[in-house]
Amino acid sequence: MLRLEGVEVRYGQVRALRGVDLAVDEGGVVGIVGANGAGKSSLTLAIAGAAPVPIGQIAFEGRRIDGLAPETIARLGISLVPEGRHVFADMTVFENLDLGAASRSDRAEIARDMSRLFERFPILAERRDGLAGKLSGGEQQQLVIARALMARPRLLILDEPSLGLAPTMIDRVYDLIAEIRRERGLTMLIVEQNPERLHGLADRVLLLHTGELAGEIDTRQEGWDSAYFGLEEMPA
Amino acid sequence: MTAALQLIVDALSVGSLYALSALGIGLIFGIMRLINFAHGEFIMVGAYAAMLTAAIWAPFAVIVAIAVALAVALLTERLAFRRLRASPPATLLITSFAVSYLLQNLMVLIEGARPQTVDFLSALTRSMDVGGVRLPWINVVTIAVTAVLLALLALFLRRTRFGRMTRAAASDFRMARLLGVRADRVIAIAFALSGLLAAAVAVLLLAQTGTVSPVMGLQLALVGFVATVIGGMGSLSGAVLGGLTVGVVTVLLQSLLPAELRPFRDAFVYGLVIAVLLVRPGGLFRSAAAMQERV
Repeated sequence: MLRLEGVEVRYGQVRALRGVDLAVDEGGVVGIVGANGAGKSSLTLAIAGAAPVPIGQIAFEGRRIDGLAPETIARLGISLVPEGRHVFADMTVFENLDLGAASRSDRAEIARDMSRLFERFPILAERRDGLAGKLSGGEQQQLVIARALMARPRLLILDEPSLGLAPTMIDRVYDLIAEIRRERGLTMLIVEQNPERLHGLADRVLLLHTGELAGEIDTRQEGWDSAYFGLEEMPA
Repeated sequence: MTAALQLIVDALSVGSLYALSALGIGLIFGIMRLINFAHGEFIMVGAYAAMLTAAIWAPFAVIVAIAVALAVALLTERLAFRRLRASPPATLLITSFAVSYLLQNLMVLIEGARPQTVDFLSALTRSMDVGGVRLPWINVVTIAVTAVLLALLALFLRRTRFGRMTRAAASDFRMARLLGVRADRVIAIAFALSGLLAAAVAVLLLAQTGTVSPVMGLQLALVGFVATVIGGMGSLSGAVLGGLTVGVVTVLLQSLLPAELRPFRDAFVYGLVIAVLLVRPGGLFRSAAAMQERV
């Protein structure tokens, strides 16, 4: 479904990603782990069209998408829940969710999806007319996941959904992601710092290290964490 | 009491023009991070258009002013800013200066550099008597037109999908695009609204002063920019409130300062702006919801 070949991302002279090859099959869940500055967010932004890809190719459902505008990529069926949540703080929960369907014009279906999401996320239904900026971090995270689902994506990319949340809230958010996965069979690419969070959720967990994919981590195997952290201690 | 009412109406009238200018600038800044100093020239071309057609029929002149300001705003976006959208803010700023000077000099070529006067809606300069207070009609009309325009704009921004997309883009343009909001469309809407607001300022200003000149928009663009900064950059309601505040403070200082200090009124205004920014760098009216980090 999604294929990256030799992808490089540069910000001026800085190479954030180098020669990244990655495939995400339809219905699969791929996890990407790595430390701060490993290039995780650059990878998600490159796929979503918000970071420049001067070298390499990105294809989605057989169509080349590198170089396309973010709105065009969103309209092809890729939804990104970026790091830091990015709710529209001065807009209501309802307005934020409605914006999630910016690429759609089927108003009746949008209203039906909104009702379903309010059932799935009851806290959002309670806060429907409240400002998104007034929600707690965990509620905001639920909002941006729900907002991404409003687009009816075929590929959902989640960039560090646990970032800045209290531990109990992280559990709730990951339970929610697992439920969505079970219910919809949605293809997902999840970026995280902590590989443990992806255990039981991702089919494959790949390590991103200083801009390069450095292999696969099997979180079911004994000693996976020393391999992971051992690599993280390597000099850049 | 009479003097106070007079002062309030004067202050709100000046504040209204500043609020409309600030909103025009704030809309574009929020979406593109472009400080559009050419906004003053949107006002200027609108005023010239109204002046040149004023003799035909005043309502027709108003329509022409709107059409011309709107067309110039959209053309500016299409020809000058669209290709530079991804450029650094400094490049966009310099381009806006270039567009500003280009439009000014074009007008000098066409109409000359000297200010011109015109009889436009001069009946509005008469005063009405409200409980012994003489209020110029133009001040009341300025406040009323501003209130109606802001109400209509608020309706558009809050109740329509395009309005919500425009607000979202003004708040976080990249996130809006990641959700599928079309950049070209939302920027064109913002420039159209900016042109419309500039036309309203042009018509009201022409009715107030009866004078046009190629540099008439400079001061308004500068005040509009200052108002968006103290209102909280990226906040549309902040831009409006910032404009009103600068207008009210300007009129109050004009009235309350000793006569020998009045020529330096603007120095006091900008001194206050610096003081406000030192205390609240994010602006006076940026909402707590927008600034707070949540965990």
